[in-house]
Amino acid sequence: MTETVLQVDHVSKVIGKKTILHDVSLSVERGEIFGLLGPNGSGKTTLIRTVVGLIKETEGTITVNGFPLKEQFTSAMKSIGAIIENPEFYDYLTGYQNLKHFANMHEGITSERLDEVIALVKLENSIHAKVKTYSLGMRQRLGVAQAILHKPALLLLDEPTNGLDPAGMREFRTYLQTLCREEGISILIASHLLKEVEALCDRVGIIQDGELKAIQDLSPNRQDQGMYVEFEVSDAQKAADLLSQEFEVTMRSHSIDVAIVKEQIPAVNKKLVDSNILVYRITPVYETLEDSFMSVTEGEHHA
Amino acid sequence: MLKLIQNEHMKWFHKRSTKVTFITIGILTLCMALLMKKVANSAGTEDNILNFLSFSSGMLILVQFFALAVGGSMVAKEFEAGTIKLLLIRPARRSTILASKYLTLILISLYYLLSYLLFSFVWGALFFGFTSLEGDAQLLKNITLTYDSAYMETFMMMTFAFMLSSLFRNSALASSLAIVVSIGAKAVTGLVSEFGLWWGKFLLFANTNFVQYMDGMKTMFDGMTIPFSIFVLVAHFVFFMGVAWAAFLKRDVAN
Repeated sequence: MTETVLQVDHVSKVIGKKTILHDVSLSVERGEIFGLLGPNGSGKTTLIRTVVGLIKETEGTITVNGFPLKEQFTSAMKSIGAIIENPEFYDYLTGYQNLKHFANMHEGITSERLDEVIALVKLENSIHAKVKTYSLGMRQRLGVAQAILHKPALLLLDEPTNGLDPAGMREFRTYLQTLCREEGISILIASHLLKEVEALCDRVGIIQDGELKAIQDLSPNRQDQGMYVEFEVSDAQKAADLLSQEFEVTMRSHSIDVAIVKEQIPAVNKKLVDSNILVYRITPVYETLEDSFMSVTEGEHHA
Repeated sequence: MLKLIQNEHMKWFHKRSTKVTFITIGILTLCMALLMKKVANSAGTEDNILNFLSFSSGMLILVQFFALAVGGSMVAKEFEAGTIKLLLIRPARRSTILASKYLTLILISLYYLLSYLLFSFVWGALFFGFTSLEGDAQLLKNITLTYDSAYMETFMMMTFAFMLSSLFRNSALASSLAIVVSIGAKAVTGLVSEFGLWWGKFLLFANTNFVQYMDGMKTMFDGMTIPFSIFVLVAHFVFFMGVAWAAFLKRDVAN
């Protein structure tokens, strides 16, 4: 049985007459990395900020590790660590003082734990320097440190790689995956970078205009959803005629696309071969995140 | 709560402006001592430490300005630096966080006041000494009263600055507006008193000075009593706090 760490239930946010979030529901399970993908201004940031209580929802409920956020705020927040956009610190304090400051707001964070986290984000050499001397990458790492100090069950990241160079992004990604594996925490990550989300997440919610349009499974053991199989054959017309009664077939010049799942491939192949159609190549084609992102958001470019 | 107050102290203590404030208080009180020494020398009179404490207590408005600067930035600086986002996502209620900030502000204003007194005392002892102190009980009482009413004013105005800080989330605006209001309102209260307008007695600055209730003094407006002044002060305090709390607790942190 999976365990739900975050439950967002029919959450809406209305400011004045403008609907920022419209009836959003999603859940994040233990040990899962969930991505929120959407263009700028789609409501990702608002959703993340609502989950951490910076923004109050107009309707709906948010439950963190079993605690309703509104009624039991402090209990709910014990399980949450977050980086909201670029982490901003007290520049005139050292990295260590900053961490100590946030550690003071949680219960039972020992100085050993502080050292452990500092080592984990590899800031041992600069932790006693003032934060204003830090590079963006170092700030980002200090941001991770303050978010995981108290061993939260859920980590929330809002555009975490904004402003990082490609090497920094890659390094950051590795960090997150290590955290997920070694500390067993769940991550909810909001980003407008498709590649980043694709490389990192188990499941992705596509959000646009404040609505959650679709949720796609990207994990290796996912259901074979949105898949078709391409058969390169000697006679595409004949093959299409043969299969079109039974399956959904798209014909190309030297191949056909058949909408079937993996288990059906041998049977379809046998049918083709039995009808004396030569099969040169069979390629399962998964719908990429980009495909579904485009299909979900297409036709809405009214700008 | 104690740890939150400790946090606020850490942030205040490590700011450069804090060091500058203490140094400024030291230098300004020193200047006052030198000035008074010069005047005393040319007049050929002999002053003692109490005369100097009495003289320097006239400039306690300085302490108020420093307290207003801190009060105006207490909440707003967190918004300006963006650190509010990391502060409010902890297992602490917003009201607890705001209370820790306000209590720290009160403590800071007391540190400033005490340092002013301490510097005045040290310079007074150095430059004027403790000669001919007998018979100055009345002077000591006056000094105490001046400090009391100056702090009452500081306390009310820094609560006002704290409210502006929470309301506008802009430290420059909150601090400078509080200082302008502090100076302006005092002048306005004086004018209203000159004209003898009856509603003037409800003004904050008509009620902060408790020296007016001493024997033989005339109150700023007719019909004022000590309980009345306390009522006016409490009413202002409740209003300032209410606005500060509502602005901090109810509003979203959207940027």
